[in-house]
Amino acid sequence: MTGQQSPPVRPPRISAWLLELGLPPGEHGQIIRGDLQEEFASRAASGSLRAARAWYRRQALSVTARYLVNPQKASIMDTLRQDVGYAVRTLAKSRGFTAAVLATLTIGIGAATAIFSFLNAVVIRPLPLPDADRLMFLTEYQSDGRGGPSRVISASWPSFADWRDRLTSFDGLAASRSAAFSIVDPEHPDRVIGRQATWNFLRVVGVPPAMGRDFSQDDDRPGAAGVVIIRHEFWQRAYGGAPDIVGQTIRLNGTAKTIVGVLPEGFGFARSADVWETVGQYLVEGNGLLDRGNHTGLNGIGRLKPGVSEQTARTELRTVAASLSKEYPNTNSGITADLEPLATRVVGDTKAVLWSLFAAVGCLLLIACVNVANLLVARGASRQQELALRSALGCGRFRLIRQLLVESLVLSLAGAALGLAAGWGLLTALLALAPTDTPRLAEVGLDASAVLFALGAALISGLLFGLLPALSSSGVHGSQLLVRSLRAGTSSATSRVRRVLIAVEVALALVLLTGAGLTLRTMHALSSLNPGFDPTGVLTARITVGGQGWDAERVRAFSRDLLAELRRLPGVTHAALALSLPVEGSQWGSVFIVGDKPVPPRAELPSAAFAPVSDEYFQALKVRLVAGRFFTPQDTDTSPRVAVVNETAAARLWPGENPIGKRVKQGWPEWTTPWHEVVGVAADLKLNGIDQNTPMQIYLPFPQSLSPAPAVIVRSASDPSALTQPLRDAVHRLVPSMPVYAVQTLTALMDGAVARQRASMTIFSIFALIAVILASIGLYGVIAQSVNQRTHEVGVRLALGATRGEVLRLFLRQGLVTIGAGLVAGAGSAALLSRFIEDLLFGVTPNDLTTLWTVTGMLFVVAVAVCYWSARRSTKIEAAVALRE
Amino acid sequence: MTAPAPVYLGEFEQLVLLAILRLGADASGVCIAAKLEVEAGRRVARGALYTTLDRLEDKGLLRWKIVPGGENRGRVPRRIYSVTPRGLSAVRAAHGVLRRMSRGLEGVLDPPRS
Repeated sequence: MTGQQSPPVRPPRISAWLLELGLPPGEHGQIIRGDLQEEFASRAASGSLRAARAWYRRQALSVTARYLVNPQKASIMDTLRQDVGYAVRTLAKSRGFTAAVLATLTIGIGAATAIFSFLNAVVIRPLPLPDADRLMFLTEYQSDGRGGPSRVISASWPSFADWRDRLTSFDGLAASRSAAFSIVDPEHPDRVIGRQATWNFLRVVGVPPAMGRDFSQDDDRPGAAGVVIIRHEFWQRAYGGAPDIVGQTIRLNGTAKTIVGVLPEGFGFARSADVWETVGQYLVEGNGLLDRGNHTGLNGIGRLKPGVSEQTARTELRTVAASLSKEYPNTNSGITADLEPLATRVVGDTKAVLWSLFAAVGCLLLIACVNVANLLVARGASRQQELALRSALGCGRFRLIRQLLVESLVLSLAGAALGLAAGWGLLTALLALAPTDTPRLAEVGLDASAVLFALGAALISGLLFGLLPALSSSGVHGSQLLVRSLRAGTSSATSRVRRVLIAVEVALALVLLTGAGLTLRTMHALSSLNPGFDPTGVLTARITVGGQGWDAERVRAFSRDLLAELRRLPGVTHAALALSLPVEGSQWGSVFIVGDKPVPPRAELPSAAFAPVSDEYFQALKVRLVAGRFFTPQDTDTSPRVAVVNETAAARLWPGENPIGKRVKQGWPEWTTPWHEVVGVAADLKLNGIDQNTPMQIYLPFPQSLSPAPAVIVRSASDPSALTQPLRDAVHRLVPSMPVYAVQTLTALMDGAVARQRASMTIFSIFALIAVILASIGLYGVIAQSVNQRTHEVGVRLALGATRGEVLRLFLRQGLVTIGAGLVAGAGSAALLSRFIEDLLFGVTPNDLTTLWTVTGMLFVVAVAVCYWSARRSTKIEAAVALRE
Repeated sequence: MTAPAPVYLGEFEQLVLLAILRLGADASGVCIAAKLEVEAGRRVARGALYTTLDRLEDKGLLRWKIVPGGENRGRVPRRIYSVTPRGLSAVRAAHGVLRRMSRGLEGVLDPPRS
């Protein structure tokens, strides 16, 4: 019955296929097909072939439709059920295989889902604001000289007011700036992140308060009664969610304010500011807001009018900025403005990190798929006899393919379920690992799109690796297979497919290893970098001096007393106050002019990181003195104004000259700030993060330039963290209500600064390790199978006098060719792909040959070891036994 | 043995059973279709035919046996259908109803002779 002979004319193929799909399985369907074919043949013989084909098509449709819609007998759904049942049974029977596939898929899909959830929450999903893609972030820049933006300096209030009056691209334009408030409460002094905004801010972003009222225009004027809106989370944390919160009073920086509203839960805009107030009440002379040349940290947010594009708005903004430069040359020449989508602004650098991790995880998922494909092909090969038998018993080719596809789909869906569970676990771990300043971290969670992603990944990989073995193991006629499979051989096509798959796995593993190698070298470069100071043994904290209603003299007295108090603590060798801490970034960037040099045009004025620091600052951080002297207690507000510059500033401002005795003045040329004489040069220290170049830095004595929220630095001879409570006590002995916050060792601060690199290094390393393990398993399987298949041949060789070493070399050579091909392809891809993680790297270039050679060598050694281990089985073959088989 | 309750037959089902009775030992799917198309003068969608055959089999009105197929159908075996006693009584019942209902209407039902 199997010796099918082609009839003289063949019915249309697609219709025949349709029938195969739609008809009941087994003999019943076959008979109906036979009937139709018989009639088709007789119609073709007696009439036109064309009419016969048309008839066949019609009948095929009619039959398929009838059986699909009204399944009298087993229909496609029943066969599917049958197939699924059969698949589950066969999979359960070969436990080792199923476990290997499921483990591979769990890892691949789990990792992909976790990283995707992260990426989706942080980068892909729009901000949780209505029509978030219409929201633009506007700010002022120092011009690059051609009208383009070069360095953000934030907007001045008068510039913002002019934008608001002149720009027509926006439906609403608001401004805000961050502000820190001290809650002066003798019981619970606290320090909160706040935000000052124009009254319409929440209206522009489209989020009204959940409780109470929004700001009104009247709240946003000089002299308005102080009202604030607080964040939901702050309400819960500080007030335990008290229902009568609206109308309560809160003392911010010593001033009583009334709480008028509570924001909705999850409103995480702008670094999760806890307390919002209007900026308009500060629009009075004397605090710099009204000064057009004073860029006070304000940034604009605008909602584009419908139909207005980002580019149109940008052009308009640039035009307005250009006319402001002409109207106010003293303050606005060399200043331009630019905008970008708010989402881009919020996500920032994290985008690059996440996309490169996503690419890495894509690689891993691909490896997982290839590995599963490999396992399935191997299984297909060993099942050829079963398939041949089924084919001989009348199972159609489509039916066989469908059976195999259903099997891989069952596997991949089970893998998706397990992968989702693994993904959830991994995501929890990732959240713990992620740098805390990662934007939108609170929005990260395993969500519906992640589930869809897992299902999609599973289905695509199911089809991807299901199709290949299905085609390669069902491509032969049953009768041929039966004959051949009895001789225990598998087609050379199958083993070729497997070798190609292994080469692909080796290549992908190499790509991931390269990523891991590069990030490892980055971490090494970062940790071996000299930061310019000694972080060990140092405890830091921040206090808020401002907002107590003190005058400058009181602040100076307090800081003197505090330093004396701190230096008396047991174990403390040095104590100091400073505006900025190393690595955390400059808190005060400003232009300045140099005494003995001509004043350049405004756009070309030099700028430096200014830092008021007390005496002992340099000693506490162990910064090297290059020339001159550091500050002493004798540098007071009444003594001559002095400054210490860093090496970079000295070299750039006075190349080849002695900087000692030169003069600098902070601010724009027309400002009346005092001149400071340079008395010392300090070694450079990493200010803006460890991987950033050190900018020019100018230190001023703390008493000559007071800071409202200074950092406290104490160096201890023993464990610095033991000083945490003594430090708090010392502050509170002087002022009980003063908030002390952000207490941490400098070492912890530095660890935080490299958290991003550390996270990507960890993830890349884990992925690479998994990739190498998966590739090794695959390689081992291929060689072992090849040994098994060629047992007979090896027996002949041994009988004819081949040594065991020669036999071993035979299999090693086969493995080496595969490994070599994989390594070559992998090295090429790694060289091409590694530039995508350029943003993550420091101290090493993306196409670093040392890294590439090292990881290639490592992978080669591992692969050869696996190859040898698996090929060793060939040496255990006994000629006599092998020949008898 | 009590006679089973008479089964209601649809028009197409009656025609199919009658065709099988007429064809006797030749009642394969192909021949049934051909008979219906020639005698009843109507197009028979094979989907309808095969699902009807399945349905009649489920009701116990017909049965079939397998005979080997020839070259013209790729040696795929064929089914030869036959009407069961239960099927025969169903056809008879249906036919009786038709006969009773048309009695006395010969003048209306028979085409006028010229």
